[in-house]
Amino acid sequence: MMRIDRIELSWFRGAADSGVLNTGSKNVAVYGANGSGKSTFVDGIEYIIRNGKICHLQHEYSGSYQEKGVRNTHTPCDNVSQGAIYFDDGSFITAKIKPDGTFTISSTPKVLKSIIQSWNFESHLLRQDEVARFIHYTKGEKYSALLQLLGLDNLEQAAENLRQLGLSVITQSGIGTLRIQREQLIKTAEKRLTSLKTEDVLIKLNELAKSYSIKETAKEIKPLAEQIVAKIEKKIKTLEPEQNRYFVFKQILYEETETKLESMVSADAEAERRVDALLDIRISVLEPMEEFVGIIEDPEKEIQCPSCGKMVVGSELIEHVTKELEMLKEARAARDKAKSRREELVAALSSVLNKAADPFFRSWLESPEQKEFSILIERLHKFPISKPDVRWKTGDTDALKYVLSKLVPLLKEEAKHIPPSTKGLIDDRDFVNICLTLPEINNLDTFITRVQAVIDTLKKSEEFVREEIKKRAERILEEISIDIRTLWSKLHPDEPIEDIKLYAHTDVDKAIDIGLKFFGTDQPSPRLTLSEGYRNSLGLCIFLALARFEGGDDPIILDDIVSSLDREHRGMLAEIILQDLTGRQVILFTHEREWYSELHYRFPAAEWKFMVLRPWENPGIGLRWSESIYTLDDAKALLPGYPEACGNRVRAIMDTHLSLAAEKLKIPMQYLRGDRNDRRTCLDFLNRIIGEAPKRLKKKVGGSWSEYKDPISDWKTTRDLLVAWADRASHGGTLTAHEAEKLIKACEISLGHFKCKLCGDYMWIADQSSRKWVQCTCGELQWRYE
Amino acid sequence: MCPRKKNVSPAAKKKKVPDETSLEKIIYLASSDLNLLGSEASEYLISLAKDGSLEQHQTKGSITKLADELLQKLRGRNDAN
Repeated sequence: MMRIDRIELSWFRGAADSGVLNTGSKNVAVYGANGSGKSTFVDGIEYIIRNGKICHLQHEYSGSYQEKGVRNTHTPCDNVSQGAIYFDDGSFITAKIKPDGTFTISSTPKVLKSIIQSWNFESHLLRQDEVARFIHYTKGEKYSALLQLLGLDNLEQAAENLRQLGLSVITQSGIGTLRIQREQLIKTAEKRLTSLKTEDVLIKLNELAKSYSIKETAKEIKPLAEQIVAKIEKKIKTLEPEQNRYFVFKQILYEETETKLESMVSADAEAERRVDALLDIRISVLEPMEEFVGIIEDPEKEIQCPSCGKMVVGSELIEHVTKELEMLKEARAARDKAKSRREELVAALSSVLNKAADPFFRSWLESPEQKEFSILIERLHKFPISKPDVRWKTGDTDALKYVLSKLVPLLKEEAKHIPPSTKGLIDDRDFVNICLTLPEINNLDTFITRVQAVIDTLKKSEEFVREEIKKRAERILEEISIDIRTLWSKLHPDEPIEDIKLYAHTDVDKAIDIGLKFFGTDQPSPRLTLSEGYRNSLGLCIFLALARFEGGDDPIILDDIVSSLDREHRGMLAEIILQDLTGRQVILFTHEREWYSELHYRFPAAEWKFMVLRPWENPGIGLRWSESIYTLDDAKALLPGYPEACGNRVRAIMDTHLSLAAEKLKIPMQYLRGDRNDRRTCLDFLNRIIGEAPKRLKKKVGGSWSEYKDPISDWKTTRDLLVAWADRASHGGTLTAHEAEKLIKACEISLGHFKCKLCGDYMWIADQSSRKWVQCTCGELQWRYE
Repeated sequence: MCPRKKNVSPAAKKKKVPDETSLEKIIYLASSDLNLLGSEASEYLISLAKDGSLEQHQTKGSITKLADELLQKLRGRNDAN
């Protein structure tokens, strides 16, 4: 079992040079008035678990490392603040915090740090203002809070990784661009081929092959096409210069530069319309949002928009961001299309210039009759064809349009005179080139299909993982719900709030909620009908059920958790802590004096240690422990300046202690009229105890029981002092500090008599169910009813 | 002290029941179509589930690397064809 042996703090929060909570590896109940420094220890634990963060200190004024809140305000210059947790097996973890807040957390052994920092808050630490935190979480937050505890965080991570992997495959494969490329190739091929089926194309190619004296029938397009092209090229070389010139004309026309220019201009205009209007504004809006949207856990909750600062519902923000992203993606696609068209045009112009450089063509071009032709070709060199990434200026596109409007008709006119044999060769080569794109189309087809299959698989996997998470969560939540109901029935027996359950939403991912029946009516959330006190009670049951579900042996830290419970329910909670948290070390802090006293009188000394923090004075003194286990230090604190008030405080404290003692000893009190029953004082109880003790209080001496008179005389002394100094109604003088001190001492001695000196337990701890007596654990002290 | 792995809830481990489907099996079931088109990619995904990579936090860079390797498996097969 993992037990905290001590917590040591130095210049941390309310602690000065040294503040040590020494549990002795037992369960501990720490009492301290408000501000005495109880939470400093809880903060120390949280700081280490959360790796240098304390949630309630998250504030704009606490500094980047919370150094303004974490370090004692009066820490001597350059002193390091420290926190350390020591465990019963000798292992320990320490945090050292420099003046600027930077810190190091280390442990011996090393693995301890990761163990401690993996503690789940939902089952380890509960604070006063967070008792109902789980209930107040949104359903998304509930899901996140329980993920690790349910053991589903790994699957959730897998689902997220699958989603991210899917997005990455889409981007990295460029599947969108590949699809456009494929469509373009098909469009061009369809202009020349009646069928794009490989077998049909092969038939045509084989027919053509025969005309070029290729006898063997081929079964694949590529090698056959390449064979035919080689034959055509060979024939072209044998052509007369005159015919070769026609060949160049045709080739230039084949590039369809005019069409490509039009495409580019239109795509540019479209891209300009979409991109320019969107990019700058949208990117500035989306950049801060992209990460933010990813971490929105509950779409129903209002959140502050990181871009404009307005409060918006999470789902609206997500929808907004999604739409904006879609528009941006469309704009990006338009930009890509424009770029692709520009590349096509540039490639076509380069090809034209390349072909125009043919020696036969050039010599023809240089003849004086072809001057206009020559000028137009020369002007083509002036366009920005060496920079395909750069968008063309309007002047350039207009100029090219003009050049092509003159050049293309001239080419067409010249091409009319093409000899039939040359035309045949040109047509054949065009046809074969088109055929050669078919294997490329098929390859693209195959790759796109496979990439799509991967994308679909990743999507399906994510869905399956989420279904599995839901299935497992439902089963585990049912188990936890059973425990919550058991604890609730112990804390609130016979109350008409039933069927409490945690449930996973069927229609929303990553969502868990709490349902219950309120007076027989189903309620989807406790927030609808339960009072604050009941919500806190339920929050407590949920925390305890989660702690029990986890089944580990780590400590549980409870910080002032009973504030909203009445006395009866606090008593029931004490019973639950005693019975249902066995196996876990419980460290609880409370400012409720009465509850602390009740725990003190109920819990066995062998397993529980009780400690009292003295009221906190100033940052230089820090935390101080009382030498007494009783709560009379609250009165002592008033001694220096207000001895009179101190006397009254003593009586109030003794009222609590003695009423509890009388209850445990089952001392019958006389029934009083009206509300006077509720206004009994410590004197009423002490008088009855003094009256009953001679016949009931026994001490074991040498194996037999004998009357035990020593406490009675001390109780009488205390009673007399209480009458004289702690009862405003009975004394008229002023209480001095010396008298008050004497009174406190007498009270401590009197309370100590209820406790066995041998076993340390109170005389009513054992044999509570006996009708004849109660006694301490070792049986040294006994209180008899008969 | 005895080191204990706490990243996975011990209770969740303890309470594992037979009808739970492992991540490996989930990926296997989801990749039936992919298996016909690119068995290497499918095997790669299953191996990621098997070696625990999918259940661990991955940085953007490592996701990019995984996607790249996945595409390599597809391209490899494409080139072979």
